[in-house]
Amino acid sequence: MRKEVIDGGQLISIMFWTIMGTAVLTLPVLIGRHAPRDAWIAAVIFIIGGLGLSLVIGALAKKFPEKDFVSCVENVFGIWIGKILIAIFFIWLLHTTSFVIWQISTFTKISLLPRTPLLIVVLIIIIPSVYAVHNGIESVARSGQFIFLITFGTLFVLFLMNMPEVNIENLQPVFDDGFNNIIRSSLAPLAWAGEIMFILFLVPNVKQQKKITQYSMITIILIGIGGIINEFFYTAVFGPLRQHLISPFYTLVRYISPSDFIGRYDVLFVSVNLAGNFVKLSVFMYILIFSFSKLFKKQNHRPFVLPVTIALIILTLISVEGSPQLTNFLDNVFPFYTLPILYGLPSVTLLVAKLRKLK
Amino acid sequence: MFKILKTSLSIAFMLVLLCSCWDRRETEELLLTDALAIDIPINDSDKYEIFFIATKQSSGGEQTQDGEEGGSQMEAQPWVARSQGKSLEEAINKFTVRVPRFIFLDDNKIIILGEKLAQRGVGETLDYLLRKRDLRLRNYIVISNGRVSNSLAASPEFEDGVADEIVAILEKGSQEGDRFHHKDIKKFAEDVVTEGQDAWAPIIEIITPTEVVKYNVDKAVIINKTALFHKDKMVGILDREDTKGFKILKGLANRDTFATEINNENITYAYNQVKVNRSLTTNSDRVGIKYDVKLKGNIAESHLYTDFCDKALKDLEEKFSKVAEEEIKSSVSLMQKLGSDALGIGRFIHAKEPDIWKNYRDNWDMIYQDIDIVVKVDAKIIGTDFISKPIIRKSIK
Amino acid sequence: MSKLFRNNKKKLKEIDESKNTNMFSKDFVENIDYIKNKLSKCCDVEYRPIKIINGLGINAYIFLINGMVDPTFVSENILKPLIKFEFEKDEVASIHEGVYNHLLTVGSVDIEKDLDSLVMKIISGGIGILIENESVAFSVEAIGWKERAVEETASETVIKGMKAGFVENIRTNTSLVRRMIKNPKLKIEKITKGRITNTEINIAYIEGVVLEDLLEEVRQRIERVDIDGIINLGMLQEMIDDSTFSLFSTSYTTERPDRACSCLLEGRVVVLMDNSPFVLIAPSVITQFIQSAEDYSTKYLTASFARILRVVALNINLLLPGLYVAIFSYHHEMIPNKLLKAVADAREKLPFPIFLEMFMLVFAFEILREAGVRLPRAVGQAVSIVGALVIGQAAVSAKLVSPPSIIVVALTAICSFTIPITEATNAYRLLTFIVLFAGGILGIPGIIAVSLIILVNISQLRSFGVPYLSPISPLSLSDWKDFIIRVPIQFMKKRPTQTAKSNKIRQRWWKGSDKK
Repeated sequence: MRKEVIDGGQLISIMFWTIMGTAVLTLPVLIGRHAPRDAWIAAVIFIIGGLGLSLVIGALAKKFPEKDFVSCVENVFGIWIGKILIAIFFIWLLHTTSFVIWQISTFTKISLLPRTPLLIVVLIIIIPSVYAVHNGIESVARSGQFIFLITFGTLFVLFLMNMPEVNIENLQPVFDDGFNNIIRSSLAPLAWAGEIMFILFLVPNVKQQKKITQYSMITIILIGIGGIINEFFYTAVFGPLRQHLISPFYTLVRYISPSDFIGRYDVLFVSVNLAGNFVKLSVFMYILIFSFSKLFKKQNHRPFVLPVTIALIILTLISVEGSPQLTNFLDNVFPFYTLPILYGLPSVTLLVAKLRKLK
Repeated sequence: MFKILKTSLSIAFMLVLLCSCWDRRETEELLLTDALAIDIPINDSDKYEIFFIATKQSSGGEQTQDGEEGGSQMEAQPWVARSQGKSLEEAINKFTVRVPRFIFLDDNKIIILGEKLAQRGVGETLDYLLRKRDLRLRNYIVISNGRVSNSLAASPEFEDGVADEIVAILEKGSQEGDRFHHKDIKKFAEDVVTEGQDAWAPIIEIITPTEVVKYNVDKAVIINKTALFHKDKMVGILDREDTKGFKILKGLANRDTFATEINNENITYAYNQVKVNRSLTTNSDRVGIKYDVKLKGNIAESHLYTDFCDKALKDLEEKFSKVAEEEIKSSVSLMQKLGSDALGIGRFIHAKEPDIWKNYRDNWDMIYQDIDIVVKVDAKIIGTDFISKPIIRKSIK
Repeated sequence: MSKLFRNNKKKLKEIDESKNTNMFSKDFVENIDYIKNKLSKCCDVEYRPIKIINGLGINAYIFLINGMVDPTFVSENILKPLIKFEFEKDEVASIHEGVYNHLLTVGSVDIEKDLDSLVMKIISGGIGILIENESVAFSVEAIGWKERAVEETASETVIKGMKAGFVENIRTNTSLVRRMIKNPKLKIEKITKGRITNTEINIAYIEGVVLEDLLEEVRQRIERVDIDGIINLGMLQEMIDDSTFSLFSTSYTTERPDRACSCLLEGRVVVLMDNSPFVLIAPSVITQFIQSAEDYSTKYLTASFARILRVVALNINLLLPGLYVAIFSYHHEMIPNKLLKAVADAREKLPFPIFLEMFMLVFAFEILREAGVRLPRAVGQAVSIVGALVIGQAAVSAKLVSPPSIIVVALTAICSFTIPITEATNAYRLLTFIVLFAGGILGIPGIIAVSLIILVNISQLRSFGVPYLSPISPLSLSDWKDFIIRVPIQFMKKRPTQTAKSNKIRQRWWKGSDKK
C-alpha cells in the first residue's frame, strides 16, 4: 500500500475542526456556567494549555518520527503495558466519540429536523465520515482542508455581522467572576485542547515532521483566537443573559440581522457546523479505528471500519440519557478524567522515553 | 470485506432515503403568526391568555375576467385567535388542536404583553419565550395599555394587520421627528437579568384618530410612552415628555424638538445629533453620576427675528439647554421616584467601580432613589435653516 | 464456466496468429497470392500488375484501397515514374534499390520485409508495390481520403480566440499542435492499440516540462489497454481513467488546439487518437471545471468575473433544486417573511408536494435536453419552444406547478450551460438529481451529507498521480492565480506545481516598460 501523506496545511485544517467542531456548540455553555463575564479568559487558558501540550507533542514526534503513537507507546513502555495504555485510550476515545456523535446529531435534530428520529440523524452524520475514513487519512485531510477554507471565512463573517450589537461594557469589570470560577470554567476548554494530541497518531503521515510543533501551535492559536472572539462576542452581545440561553452560538447567529430582508443565518451556521463536525468525526473515527487495528497489529484499517461504526452507533444511542445529563457530565466529570489521559499519556511517554534514553 | 462494507453502507443510505420525511411541511400548511399577545385572563382559573395574530391571504371571490392580472385577487384578512391555559405551553398546545395548520412562530415579529401581566411580573413569560426555539430574539416587546384584547381591536391604517402596523410604526414610521426606538426580547431580557439595570418597553395605546378627516378607522395605534420595570415587574409609565428625556440619556434619540417661548413667541429647537457622556462623581463618600449631554441642531421654527449675531445665538443656546435640562431632569426624578433604574446606573457603577458596587449591591434599590444624578445639557445651533430672514419679523428688544 | 473461458482463449489465439511474421517467399506469385488471399472479399481493394522501368519491363504488382488514397497522387508520383522512367542498371546493386533511389518520387516510402506489415500498410491507406524477384516490397504513404476540413469547434465555442478545432485526421491534429509549438522538444509518440481496429494513438508532451513519472504513467496505462477495438476517445478515456467509481472523470477532452497547447505548456500530456476530433488531457484537476479558453483572450478582470460567475453557476446547478425543495418544505425559517407568503400564495391549491413538482420539472428538462441533442437542429428549436413555452406556461395556468418552481428549474438549466467542460456537465446532471432527492427527503442535513460524500469522493481521486482537489488541497497558493481569479498574465510566472515540478519557471521576471 502506498504511504499516505498529508501536509502541514491539511493537518492544521483537520485539527482546527477536530477541536472547534463541538467546542463551538458546548464550551460556551460550560464556561458560562462558571464565569459568564470573563469567559474569554478561559479561551486564553485554553491557548496556554494547548501550547504546553504542543511542545510535548513536538518533542515526541522528533524522537519517533516514523512511529505513530501506538507503536511509540509500545516501544517506550514495553508491549504489554503499552497495550494496556492504548486500550485505556481506546476506551476513552470510543466513549468520547459516541457522545460527540450524540451532541452533533442532537444539535442538528433540534435545530433543523425536530421530528426526525435520532437514529436517522446519526446516520446522516456518520455516513460521510465513515466513507472518508474508509478512504484513508489522505481523503479526510483533503476534504478537511476544503471545508476549512470555506467555513473559516464563513464563521468569521458570521461573527462580524454581530458587530452592531456589541456592547463592550458587558465585559466590564474584568475578573469580576472571581479567580476560582475562572479556573473552574477553563477546565472544560483545557480538556478540549488536549485533543491536539491526536496529531501523534498522524506523525508518520505528516510530510515535514520537524515542523509538527509549529503546526500544532498554529492550530491551537487559531482555535484560541477563534474562542476568544467567540466568547467576546457572546458576552458582549448577550451580557449576563448568556447564562440563561441554550446553544449559545446558534442563538447568536439567529440574532444576526444586518438588514431587513436577509436576516436568517441559522441554517448557514448549522451547515457550517455540520461540515466542520464531519471533519471532527472523521478524525475521531480514523484514530479510533486506527488504534484499534494497531492494537491487533493489523496494517490495514479498513476491515475494522464497519464493526467499529456499528458499535459506535449503538453506543451513541444508549450512552447518553439526555441533554441536561450530558451537560452535567461534561461539566463535572469529563474534564477530570480526560485531562490525565490527553495530557498525561504523551507527557509520561516522553518522560519515560527520556529516562530510558530511547532513540 | 470491502464489498460487504460498501453494500451495507449503500443499503443503510437507501434505508435512510426510503424512510418517510418526518419534518416535511408544505408552505401552504403553515400558519404564519405575525404577533403573539399574552395577558392574564379575566376569569382567574387560568394563568395565561394568549392571542395569535396572523394575516390570512385569501382569494377574494371569482377570478377576474380581464385576464390582465391572470390570477385571482388576493386579499389580506387579519385573523386573531385566543387560547388560555395554566401555562403558556398549555395554552399553545390547546390551540394546536383547533387550527388545521402548523403554527409557525419563526416569522413572528412582535410580542404584546398586557399591562396587568407586566405589573404581575414578566419573568416567567420571558423565560418561556427565550427558551422557545422557533421564536426569534428579534421579536419586539411592547406593553399594551390596558388589556391586550383592546389593543388588538385596533384597525390597521396602512399595513395588513395590527401587528404589521405596530412593527411598521416602530421601524419605519418613526424615522422622522418623534422617534420611538424599539426593543427586542433579547435586549429586554438582558435588562431584566442584569444587576443594577432595569428594563423598559414601549407602550402601545389606542386612540381615535381625529387628524384623519375622511377615514373609516376609529381605533388607531399610537406609540409614544414608555413602561418602566423594576426587576420583572412594571412599576410605572413615562409619558411622552418624559420619554423624550429618557431617550436622550439612553443615547437612543436621533431627532426631536424642544419648544420654548421668548417674548411670548414660540421658538422651536430641533436637535439631530446627540452625544451623551456619563461619568461617576465621588465626593465625600457619596457616589453621584453626571450626564454630559451635547445636542447639536438648529432652530426649526421661529417668528422671532434677531440678526442672529453671536451673542443672540449664545443666548438662544443657553435657553434651549435649560429647557432640555429641565425636561430630562423631570424624567430622571420620576424614574428615581418609581425606583426603576432603566438608565442602568447601578450597572455603570458595577462596571467602573466594582469595589464600590460591592457595598451597594445588596441595598441598591434604596440607594438608587436618592443618588445624585446631575444632568448638564449643552445645546448647539449649527443648522443652516435660519441664516436667512423669516417672513414675519418681530425683533427682540 | 471453464469451457467458456477456454473458448475465449481460442478465439484470442486465432486473432493473434495473424500477427505472426510472414517473410517474403522467393516466389513472386506466391507473395501476390498471399496478399490477395488476405485481402479477399474486400471489394474496395484494387490491384493490378504493371511492367516497371521503361525498357526492362520487370513485372511488378501494385495494391491500393480505393477511396483511401489520392488517385492523382498515385498516377503522377508512382505509376508514371515506375512505368516511364529508367535508370542505369550498373549503378545500382539491385532493382529495388534502383526503384527506391531513382524512381519513387515521393517522400515517405517504407521498405517492407514482411508480408503482414505490408498488408497493414495497404489497409491503412498506403500503396503496396511488389517487384518480381525481389525479397522486399515498398509501401508508399498516399493517404488521400475525404476528410472534414478544419473548421470551428462545435462544443467549445468562444467569441474571441482561435476558431479552428481538431478534426478526425490525427496527422492534421498533430500538425495543428505542431504549428503552435514549433520546438523539437514537443514529442509525439506513437502507440497502436486495438487488436482489430489498429487505431493509432499519439502521446504528445513537451520534453523537459513534463514530469517523467506522469509520462510513464500515461504510457503504461495506454500500453495496458488490450481490446479488440477503440472506436472513440471516450472508450480510451474510460479505460485509462482512475475514477471508475466516481461520477467525475479525472481526465478531460477538448476540441481546441489552443487549449491542448496551453495544457502541454503546463506540463500535461495530450493524448490524440485517430478518428477522434477530441484530444484527451491528463492529468486534469478540479480547477479546469471553470477554465475556458476564452479567459486568456479577454482582460483579466472580465475573465475573473466570468470565472466567479461560473463558480456560482456551478453551485446553483448542483444545489439549487435541492435547496429550494429543502428550504421550502423543511426550513421555512430561512425564508424572508414576505417571500414565504408569496410562495405560499402561489402554491395554494396545487396538487403536488413541492418535491414531486421539482422532480417532475427537472426530469422534464432533462428529457428536453436529451431530445434537443438528438433531434436535427431545425426540429430541436421547435422542441425547445414547445417544451419551454407551451408546457411551462400551460402547466402553470392549469395549476399543476407553481411559477417559482419553473423559475428555479429554468435557472438551474441555464446555469448548467455555463460549465465549459462537458465531463463536468455530465457529472453534474446526475448529481443534481441526487441532491434533489436528499433535499426532498432529509432537508438541508441530507444535502450536506450528500455534498460531503461527493467531496470525499472527489478528494480521494487522483488523476494520474495528481490529487484531483489540488490547488485547494493540497493547498498551493501559486496555482490560485489561475483558479477562481485569473491574475494578469505577467504575474503568472510559474507552471502548476503539481504537473511541472521539474521546470517551474514559465516567465522570466517581468521588468515592465523601460520608458523614462
